[in-house]
Amino acid sequence: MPDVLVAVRNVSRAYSDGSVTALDNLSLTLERGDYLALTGPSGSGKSTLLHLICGLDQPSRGEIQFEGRHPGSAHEWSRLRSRRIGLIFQSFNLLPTLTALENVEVPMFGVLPRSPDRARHATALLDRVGLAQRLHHRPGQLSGGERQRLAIARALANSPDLLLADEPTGNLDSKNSRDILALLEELHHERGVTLVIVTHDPEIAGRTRRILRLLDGRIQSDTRQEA
Amino acid sequence: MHFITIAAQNLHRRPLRSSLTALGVAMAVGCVLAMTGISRSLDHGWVNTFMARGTHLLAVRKDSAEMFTGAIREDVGDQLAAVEGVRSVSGELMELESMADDTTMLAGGWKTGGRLWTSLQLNEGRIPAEGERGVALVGEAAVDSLKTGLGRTVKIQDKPFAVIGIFKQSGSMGNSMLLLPLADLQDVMGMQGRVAIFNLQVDNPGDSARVADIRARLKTRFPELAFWETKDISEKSEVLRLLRAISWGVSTMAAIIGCLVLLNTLLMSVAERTREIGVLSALGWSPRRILGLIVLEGFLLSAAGGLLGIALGFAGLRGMSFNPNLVGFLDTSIPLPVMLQTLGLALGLGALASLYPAWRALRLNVVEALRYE
Ligand SMILES: Nc1ncnc2c1ncn2[C@@H]1O[C@H](COP(=O)(O)OP(=O)(O)O)[C@@H](O)[C@H]1O
Ligand SMILES: [Mg+2]
Repeated sequence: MPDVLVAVRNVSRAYSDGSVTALDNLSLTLERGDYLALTGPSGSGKSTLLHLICGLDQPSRGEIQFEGRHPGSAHEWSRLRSRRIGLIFQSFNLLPTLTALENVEVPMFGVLPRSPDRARHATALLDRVGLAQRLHHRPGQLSGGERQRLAIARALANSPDLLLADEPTGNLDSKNSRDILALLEELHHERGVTLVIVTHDPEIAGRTRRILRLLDGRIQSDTRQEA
Repeated sequence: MHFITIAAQNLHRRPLRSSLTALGVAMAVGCVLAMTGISRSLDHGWVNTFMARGTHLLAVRKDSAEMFTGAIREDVGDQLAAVEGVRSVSGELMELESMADDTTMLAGGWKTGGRLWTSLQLNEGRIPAEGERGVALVGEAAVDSLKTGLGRTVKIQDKPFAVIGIFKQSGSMGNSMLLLPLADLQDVMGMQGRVAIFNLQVDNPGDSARVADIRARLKTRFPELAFWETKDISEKSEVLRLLRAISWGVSTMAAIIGCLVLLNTLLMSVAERTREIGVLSALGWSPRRILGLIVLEGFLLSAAGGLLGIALGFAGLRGMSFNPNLVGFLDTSIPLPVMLQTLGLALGLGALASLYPAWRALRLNVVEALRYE
């Protein structure tokens, strides 16, 4: 019996009075330790699925379960995002007024109560992603690759079980893309974190253990391959 | 990093807007302090002035709304003095005089040889002798604005009075008065044989039951008069009540304007940070924490504005105290409790004004906010 982390059960997501169906009666399970590439053409529902899995969006029908439980309230979802799920975006979404160190500390409020503990932990994470020399730089002073490393460190702030990355290399050149992907894979192996990467890049998709292909809000294919 | 750093950095990002908002709050706070300062110092000025004279009860004409506008026959004083428990009675006439160069001066007329003169603390000179006419004493706070001094004269309605003494009296009002023999002021005002109020002393001023008893008997004996206890002057006086009402009205408006300025700034700030607030939510910040951040920003702005406003309030009162119409009347100090109350009010209203923007921040559609480029 595989260890199911997330279960998506008959989920639909419709927009604007039901005329747009982003996801159509979709079911899938994510197992602990999965490494999954979510692909499909633009508009096929990849981001929507990611948002539903972390509770930023709510399904029109169906239900999402995390570790077998359906988080019923916005509060439960924010608690999950705070402690169990890390998010990484194509456009980094860093806070421009804060330094790299401070950006990584942001998710730790409410989890690590003491400021020195937050700073120490954030420093270690930035060191891990190779930004030890950039602690006090603001996002605006960092390169694209560095910004995404910073965003990854921030996503790891509270040691999540699940990392959701929505086109994490979409704004990066190929060299930086490879580096970021390598970093995510290392983290997946080293911490056993379940990793979902939305990508258009067949090269990336080729490296994962499982490829889920969406088309028009449905699963077109769900294939597993040997790493 | 502390939580407050995030709020401070957000304010720091728009230094001009944040400063202007703090300044707007400061103007409101300063206005509240200055307005309440004026009314407070007039209240205290009057009470302290009569206290310093040793007056326990004031007799005024019943229907006159203000203490120095009524006219009572001077000889009523003798009947008042005959009431059991009344120790002394001193008639007094008062008028606001418009002096040369538009200075407004409160002039008092006291009967020469009477008790009131001996309540003065003389810096120089002397008090008038019994029956002396054509002389004046000037309060030390009024000397400069009248451009006069011992041995010189002051003119009231073109009639010169020789300044024979400079006095000091606690109570900003008393300290800036001009005092004439009662007969002289009666002539100036055309009120021969009349006074506006009587200063009464009673036998046992510390015994409030006794004072109340004397007051009750006075009221029955003189139904045409009203008797005020010195400490109640500011509640009884129509002008002081009106001034307090105006000061409250203006203060309330200022506070509302301050709130609106803050509200506007925070709404703008929330609107332009839609994406960042979405990010905070995506990172697992609870609605409470996000609300706390916005409210803290409002709190910091109003704290900065409140502190600056206290300085402005001081400056405003000082500035107004140089106005020739107000010179000497204004007490420019702001007591610490008043300062703290006003600061507390600013902080409370600041937090309140940030609740709506914070609520707007919480209603945000996070997915939209993150999609937004
Ligand atoms: N807020 C919205 N209102 C209407 N339609 C939307 C909204 N968000 C997404 N959609 C639609 O839902 C579909 C899936 O979008 P999305 O999940 O972003 O696709 P992907 O990430 O695969 O490119 C698209 O057709 C998109 O136009
Ligand atoms: Mg997308």
